[in-house]
Amino acid sequence: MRVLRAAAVRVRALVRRRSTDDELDEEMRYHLERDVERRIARGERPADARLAARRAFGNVTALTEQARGASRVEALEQAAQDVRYALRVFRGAPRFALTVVLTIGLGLGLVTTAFTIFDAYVLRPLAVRDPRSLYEITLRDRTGRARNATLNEHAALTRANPAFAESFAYRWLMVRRDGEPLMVQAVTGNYFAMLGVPAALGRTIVPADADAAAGTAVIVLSHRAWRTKFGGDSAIVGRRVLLRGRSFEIIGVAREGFDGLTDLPLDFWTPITIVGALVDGLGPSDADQPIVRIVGRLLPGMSEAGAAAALSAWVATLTAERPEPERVATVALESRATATYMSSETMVVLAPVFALFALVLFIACANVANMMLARGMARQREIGIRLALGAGRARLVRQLLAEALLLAVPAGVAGFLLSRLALGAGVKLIVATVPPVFASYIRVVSLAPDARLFAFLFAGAIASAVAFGLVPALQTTRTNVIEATRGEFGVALRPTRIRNALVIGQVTMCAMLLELSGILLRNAERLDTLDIGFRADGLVQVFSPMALHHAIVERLGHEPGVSAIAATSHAPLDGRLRPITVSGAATAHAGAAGSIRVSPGYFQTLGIPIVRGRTFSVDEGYAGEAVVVINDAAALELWPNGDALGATILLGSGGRDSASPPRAARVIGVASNVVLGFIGERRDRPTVYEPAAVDTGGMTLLVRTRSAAGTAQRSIRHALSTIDPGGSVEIHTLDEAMAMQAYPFRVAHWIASLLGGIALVLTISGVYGVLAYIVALRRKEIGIRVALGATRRIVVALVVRQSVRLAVTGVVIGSLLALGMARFGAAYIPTLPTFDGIALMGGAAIVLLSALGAAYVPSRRAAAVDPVETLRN
Amino acid sequence: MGDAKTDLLQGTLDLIVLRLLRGGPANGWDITQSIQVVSKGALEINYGSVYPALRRLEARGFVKAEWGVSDNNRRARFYELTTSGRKQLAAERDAWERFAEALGLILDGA
Repeated sequence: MRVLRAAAVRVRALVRRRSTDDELDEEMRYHLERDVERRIARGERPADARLAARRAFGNVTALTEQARGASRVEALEQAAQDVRYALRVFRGAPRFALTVVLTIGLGLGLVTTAFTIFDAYVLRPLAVRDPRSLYEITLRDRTGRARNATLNEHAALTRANPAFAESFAYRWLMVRRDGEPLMVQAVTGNYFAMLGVPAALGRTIVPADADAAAGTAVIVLSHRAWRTKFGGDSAIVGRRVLLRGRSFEIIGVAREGFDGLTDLPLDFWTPITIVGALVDGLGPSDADQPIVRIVGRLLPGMSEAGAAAALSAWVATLTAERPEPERVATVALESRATATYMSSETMVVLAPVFALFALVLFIACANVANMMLARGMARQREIGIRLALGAGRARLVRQLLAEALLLAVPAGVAGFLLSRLALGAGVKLIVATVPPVFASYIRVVSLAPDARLFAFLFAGAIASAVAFGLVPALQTTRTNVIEATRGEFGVALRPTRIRNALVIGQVTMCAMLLELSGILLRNAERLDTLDIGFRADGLVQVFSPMALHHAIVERLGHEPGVSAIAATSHAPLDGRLRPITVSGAATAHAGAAGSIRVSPGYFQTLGIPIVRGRTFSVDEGYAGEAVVVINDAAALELWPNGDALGATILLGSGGRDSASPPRAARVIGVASNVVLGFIGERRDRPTVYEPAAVDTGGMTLLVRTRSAAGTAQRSIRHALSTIDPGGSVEIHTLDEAMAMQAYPFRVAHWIASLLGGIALVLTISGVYGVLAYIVALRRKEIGIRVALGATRRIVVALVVRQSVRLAVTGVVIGSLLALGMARFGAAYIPTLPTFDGIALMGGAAIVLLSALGAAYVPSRRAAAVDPVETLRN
Repeated sequence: MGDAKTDLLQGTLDLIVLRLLRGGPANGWDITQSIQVVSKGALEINYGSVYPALRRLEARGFVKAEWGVSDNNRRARFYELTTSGRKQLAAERDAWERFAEALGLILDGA
């Protein structure tokens, strides 16, 4: 009842706002008149009586405000009033409003662009049934080493159901067709039904397809692969494709937009039982081999931690009887709700990147805050008058914040449009520049905006409004009423200090971004001329199935263009080498090294010099003898006195406190240092080469050709077409591998340059704004100085010194930050220099020169101050 | 203004207004005069602050207001206690008495 009545009062107050206000005025007027009458009746003079009545009543305006506020409809009403007022202000200063909207829009646009990508890959749930309940499990032994599951284990899990309502097993494969790699998942028969993914054409894989022990040779294409790699042929169902010499029937195309549960794009799915036909070294029904991973759907009400505990206990019991390395101690769960799992590792890499984007928004906000402060000075009189008329400070701060918010909303819209443009252009740029080999590893996701994006944009707009609006609002209203109405600024008002701090902050961020971009640019350039230690030109890599390996070696041996052939367990520049531990003696501490198996001709084919000793003989290669060649770095680390040759090296497996004892081998040669895994790696990583035969299956062939690598690539493909009809052999030049590894560095440099460039423009305008403002503020002082005999030079120096002081402070802090960032980056990319003097000095010089340039116009304006005119005013 | 005047405790004005309205409908002016008379001029308040208090009580449904004619034949807004206003008065009065008693015990005991 009471609530209803109170609501009625409020509604009435809202609807009949005008009349309730009038009522209040009338009521208060009545009171004052009564009081005056009474005082006059007591014999006071009318003027005194009026004054006394008012004094006894209190501050009419404040009380009126309070009484209205009491009805609590005030907030709403005030907001509407603030908006009306702010709009009127903007109509009076359209250029100012537009500048703010565009500046903040630019910052918001960049942040939104970054967020769109983050959202699409990391936050957006996959388009499958109830993605939040899907978890992939990893089995770990007691030393923490992960292993795959076996199909038998999956079957047992399905029967026991300790934590999952249902689960499927899968295995990653890469199969080649027409020399192109295709990403494949071999899955158990319940995969599509469990994920709720129907077929767009034909049918999906059903349990019967995976039932036969020898597997059924069928595949389901992903919608994207069907469109891009199979021409979108609507009659594709029933067609057959030749994969590694075996014919597979295409039974269907999966629903559009489903690319699997991974961040790599899938081309097709096939039953898990056929996996032996597509992978080297697996029999047709190796149900006891650890070859699959398991994804399950949590039982309703089961927590992630609860499931991990239940599964750990259950799998530990299941594997208790197995030999040690297969015994499972713990089971770890990873959500499969989004394309990219948000692990702490991804966050460590992504957070700094996102921070860089946010910095530009910060600079934009600092710029606008400065502009608002300058305008606040101009509006000092207006605000002073309103304060004098009894407006509360909180009310005025709210009013000024409303103005900021009102500017932030169109800025958010501008930012959204800008991010759309930037994403469109970015995608075009990537498509135009990405190396073809890389393209098959990029999962293309929809970047369409969603609710999360709009929520982010909204929050970003509000946050920036507070960032650029609050300080000026507090500052402007912190004023002495009397001085302000006269248009003078009291000592309490020192916005200059805040403005200086904002500009120094801008310069800091700008210098840091430019220096980082310089470091990345020089790193990208260095990669072009990178000396990897061996001859990459004319070198071709041939990836083939084990079964074809021997025939290919035979065939290429007869090619006239081929000068040397070698085989290796790890193709050059195909990622980091397998890590092992090495030590020179049983007592010594074991160091880390990369391990690789190579055929005797390897060093000659790649052109890696043997600096001491010899390479493997053909016999050693076939016998797999316990001899190794190590690189210079390993020799130096293990035998600093140079007596590596003939010594015994102990090779341990890479895992922590592994149970297996290290193998001993004799060092027969020392090779010079080369970059084998990743171009961001240093050349002097210790490496151990072990012998293998050139026609050992499963190895990558390296072919040194007499012609250019591109021509050789084509002629080799032609030569192999007779022995490899389905195109299961992939042939690349080493230059392609290098281009692929260098590409992310290039993209990083583009982004850093873009951010640095925008930051520079914003900073120049920020410095300019502050100086122009200071000159305007000190006009009188400058006039007096000129009148007292200061020359133009002195006046100009006055302004320039101000600019340089701000810039130098910012540049010093910014350079320190850039150094810190480079050090952080070097932990991931060892070749990144931790101290790049040229990049640091270059960035610093650009910022300093820009600050000087920004001082040009204000200093000229200062020099042109006419002492007579300023002193007269 | 004498030294003996006491500033009003935060929130007590509402209680005073409610108490004064128990005697029957009154307008703002009447209430301010009653405060003066009843407290014998010992309370330091701005007369004007009665009006926000009245609006506050109205919004919370403790009083209702109607325009009427004052004793000097002018239009004035008259306030009247509602039922829930009476209950509120009783509750606040109890609370106040408990508080004053407790404070008195502490002050006397110390």
